[in-house]
Amino acid sequence: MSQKGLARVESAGGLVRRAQGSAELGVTQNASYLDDLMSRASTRGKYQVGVEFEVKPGTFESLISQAAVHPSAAPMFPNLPLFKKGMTVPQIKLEKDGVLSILLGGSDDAVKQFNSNIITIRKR
Amino acid sequence: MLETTIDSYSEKMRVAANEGRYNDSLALLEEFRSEVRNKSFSASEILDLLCKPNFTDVGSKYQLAFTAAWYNLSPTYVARLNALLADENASNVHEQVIELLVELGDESSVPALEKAMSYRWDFDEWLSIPKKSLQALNAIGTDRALEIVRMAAQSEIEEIKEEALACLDS
Repeated sequence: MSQKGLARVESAGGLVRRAQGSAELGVTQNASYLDDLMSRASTRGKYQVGVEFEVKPGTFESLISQAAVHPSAAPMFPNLPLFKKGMTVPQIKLEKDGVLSILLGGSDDAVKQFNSNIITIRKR
Repeated sequence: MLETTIDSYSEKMRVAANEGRYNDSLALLEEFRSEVRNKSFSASEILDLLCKPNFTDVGSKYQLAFTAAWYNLSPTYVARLNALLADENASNVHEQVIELLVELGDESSVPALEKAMSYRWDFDEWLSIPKKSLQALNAIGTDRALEIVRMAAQSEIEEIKEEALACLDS
């Protein structure tokens, strides 16, 4: 995220949804994906810092159980619905090279749930 | 040989997915990555798979083929990737295609990327496809590519405008 985004996270003690959910708020368990994102020439300056959240066990699984899927993740989650515009649930997506991420930006409840499960926040 | 490997992983991933074992699917993907790294499949084998008719319809196969492509990037993929991006029936792979095109940085991708700027797929709530197309066009950097980025900087859609301005600033 940007330095501005980090300041928002630090001050709120968790993720903060933008107006109308206009930010993806993607979380992943794959730390090397963050390093890759920050080092890409094509997104230079956009991802200035990676933020590591330690969350209570089961958080990721619980978010997945409420989610809908991006087509990239549909074969991996055949029992979850496909994401449709306007849905207010987390979206599961496979990023570059098949890295699993959950986009929380469309769901106020998911952001609240994620934030309430945070144990520590650390800049990478 | 790559096709046989992919068939085998794809079937194991299908079974794991049907049983709700997504962590096993991710572990299989990681195992496949490591196999691809060690065996370095040829670019022509990878291209043959990417060119298979309807390959984007088949479960995890396309995911595995794209993973193989990442570990042996070749300019020979560009024409097929451009065609996939221009094909509105292949929207499920567009984002992954664009990410490969960013890395391959070929001028011939500009028309397909320009078309992708207009895609508004239902699942693409955060406009990742048009935004990543802008990143790819900016990386290609020809006069025409940059002209499209500059036009996007005037967009009425705030997210597109923001992305275009960030590209022009970088």
